[in-house]
Amino acid sequence: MSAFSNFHPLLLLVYVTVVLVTMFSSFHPIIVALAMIGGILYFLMLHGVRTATKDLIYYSFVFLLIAVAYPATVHNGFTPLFFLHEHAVTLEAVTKGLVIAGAVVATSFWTKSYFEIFTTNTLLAVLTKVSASPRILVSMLWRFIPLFKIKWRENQMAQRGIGYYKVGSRVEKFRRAFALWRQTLVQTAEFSIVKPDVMKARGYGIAKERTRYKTRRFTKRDGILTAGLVLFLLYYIGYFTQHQTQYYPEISEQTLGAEHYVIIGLLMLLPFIYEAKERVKWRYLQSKI
Amino acid sequence: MAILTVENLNFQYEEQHVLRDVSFSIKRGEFITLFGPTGSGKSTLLKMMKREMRPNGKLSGTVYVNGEKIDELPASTTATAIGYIMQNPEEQIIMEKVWQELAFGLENMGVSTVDMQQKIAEVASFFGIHNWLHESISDLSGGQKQLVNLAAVLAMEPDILLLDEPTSQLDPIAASEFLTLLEKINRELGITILLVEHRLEELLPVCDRVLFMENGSLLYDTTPKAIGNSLLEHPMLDALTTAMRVYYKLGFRDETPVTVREGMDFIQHYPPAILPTDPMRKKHPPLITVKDLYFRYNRKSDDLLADMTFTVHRGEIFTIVGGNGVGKSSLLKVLAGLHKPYAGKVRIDDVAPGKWKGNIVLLPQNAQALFMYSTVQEELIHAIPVQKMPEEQRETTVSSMMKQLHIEHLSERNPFDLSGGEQQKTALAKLLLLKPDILLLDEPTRGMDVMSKKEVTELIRTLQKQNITTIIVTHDIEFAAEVSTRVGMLFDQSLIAINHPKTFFTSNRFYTTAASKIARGLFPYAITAEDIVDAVNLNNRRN
Repeated sequence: MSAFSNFHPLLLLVYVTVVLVTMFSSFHPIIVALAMIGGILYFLMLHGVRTATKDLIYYSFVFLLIAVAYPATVHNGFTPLFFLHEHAVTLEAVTKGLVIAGAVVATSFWTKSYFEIFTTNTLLAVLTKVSASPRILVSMLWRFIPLFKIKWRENQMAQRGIGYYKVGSRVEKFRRAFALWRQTLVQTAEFSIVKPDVMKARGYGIAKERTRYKTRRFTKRDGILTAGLVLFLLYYIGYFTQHQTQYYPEISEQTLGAEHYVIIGLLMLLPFIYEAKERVKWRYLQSKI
Repeated sequence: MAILTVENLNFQYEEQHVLRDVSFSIKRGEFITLFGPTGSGKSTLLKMMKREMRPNGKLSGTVYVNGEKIDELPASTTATAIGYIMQNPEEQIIMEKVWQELAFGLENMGVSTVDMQQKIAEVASFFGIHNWLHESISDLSGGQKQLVNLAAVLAMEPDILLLDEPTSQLDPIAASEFLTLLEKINRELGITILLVEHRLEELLPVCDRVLFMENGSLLYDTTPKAIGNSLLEHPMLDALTTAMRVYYKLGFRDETPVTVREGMDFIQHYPPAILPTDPMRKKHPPLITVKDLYFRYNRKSDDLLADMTFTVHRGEIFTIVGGNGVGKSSLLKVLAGLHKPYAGKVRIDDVAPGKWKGNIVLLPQNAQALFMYSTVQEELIHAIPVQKMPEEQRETTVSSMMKQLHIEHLSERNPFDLSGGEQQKTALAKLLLLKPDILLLDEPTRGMDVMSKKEVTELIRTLQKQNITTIIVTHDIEFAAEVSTRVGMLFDQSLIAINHPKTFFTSNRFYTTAASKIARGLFPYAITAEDIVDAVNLNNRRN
């Protein structure tokens, strides 16, 4: 369980939005780099080095692919570095390729970590604020996917057990697999979604207002942090809509002072720092026991 | 005062009389078992008492709850006062996490958060589910799921609990635990229970009253001790406990023993007798040989099966019994070639299962996984390989198969809507239409009533005469004693004590049939109610 996820889900939602919006609205090489580093470090914190390595390797390939493919196909820009098949590979395109690749990787890691800490429970807690019915719908849809996986595995095994796939032609094998897939889908849907009787039998739709078992209090701390994040967002969005980094025809000059990079950097690294701080605290508490 | 009264209830669905003039009344705190052959209208009757679950059809008669007509009660009362549990735990589950499921009904009723927390805390602690409150329900076992359903319904504090074969999808150990829990709820909390069940061996000793239904009519409404007298000529007599069956089959009436202990007391006054064990049959050549088999699911897990060696001969009915999770189902899958052992060999006629020419089929633990069509008829017709048979012949083959298993009345029904036992029979029919040479059955009698079990036993014996080999994995030791030619117990990664069923069950003390427990010391080798009757008669003839 991550310490950062203990914040109110609404705050978490605002936070990730701020990170991604800041990154995309600026499209600034340094800010994108900070967002990527922050995302990867937090991901490492959540999963540990060993399990995260696989993702890191995979995403470094993604990064390389985009970073190479972009300047190889886009030839805008003033400063040619060298020529490839009679086309100029420009400094501007190389830089932009790197930034796009960084943004893609950063987005991937942030959303991965986010879905990790933002479980159904927290999702529902946020949704209940809205209304009860969508909340139930979401919970049932959420159940659909794991249920489908289990059913699919089970049905596959059962059908193989009676020689369902023991047919000569590939086409027939494929047709059968498809039929089974469709059947599993219908079966799972019936189990997880079509349940009006069962829900009525347990009083669904009787009381005008449904109550909630779990309430997550939006604390003062949550409030202050959310307000801070919103202010931050408003300020920088205002700035970056005017001064978004342009790559063509020339990389636009940067007017942002160094202190801004520090502030944005702190924001991007916030979950990592917070998590690290909690771990140190925990270790300190343990050693006293 | 009567908590629930049913008066002259009739229900008709598409020209079919499902319920005929049913009347009875339940007092507060009673524990009542409703039983009868499959398709006698038990489930429908139960649904009539839960307004929200009533199917469409023509209904007449009245149901009173606490003296008031059920149709005139407000929805909030019928939702809370009457708790309803269905056969398949999966069908009743609405939410994703355990705690959400427990909270669902209370949230609907608008119970305040503080009250709700208390109620859920209580109910979760009572059922011992507080440790997995935050688990996803899809990760739980069938027994645990049904427990969550029960807890969720009880959290709403119902006056009466209606249960429709709640254990039919569970393995016997989970089923037995579930029934024990019901008894505890009734005894300790005084909640009235009306239960439809086949598992009378465990229920008759604890329930207050039994209702017996057949063809939509309520035939008998009496005590467990008295029900036998009414069923003397009825095949459902075999559904009663072993002690009762022995008692009635020996020609006694009136004060029947019910439990194993009462049964032991009852047969004490007979002189001991030793039943002859079956003469060893001529052994057929070995068909399946398993040699030094090792199996585990993945590299990091422990061995599930280790150093296992055994042989199954052609035409045998080989049964494997054993506790939960010892790897019985996995062993069947290894034999079917669905899993590969990491060491050792499985050979059928000296080749690997995948390469064998003959047809080997497996009935999975969850028979539903075999169904792909919307009627039983289609399901079975499509089971026959297309090239092998002309159209007309397929229909006659299917209908004779349905007759053999007594499922012809289900032909137009959706296989997913059938009861657990009916699903098992449909799945079995599907397997047999594939003309197997080796039949692997995983828990075939799950959810079946006594009559269906008998049919299946007969069927497997007929197949044996055609030299078809059957390997059964089951918890149902009564069935194992009845059907097998050899029994082995899977324990601690290996098959132990492989033996003739009579020897096997007689030498066991705990893990054995009720009949064997009753006959212990007096009639060795008697492992079914019929065996005990035979043993007594053997003495009579001698004297």
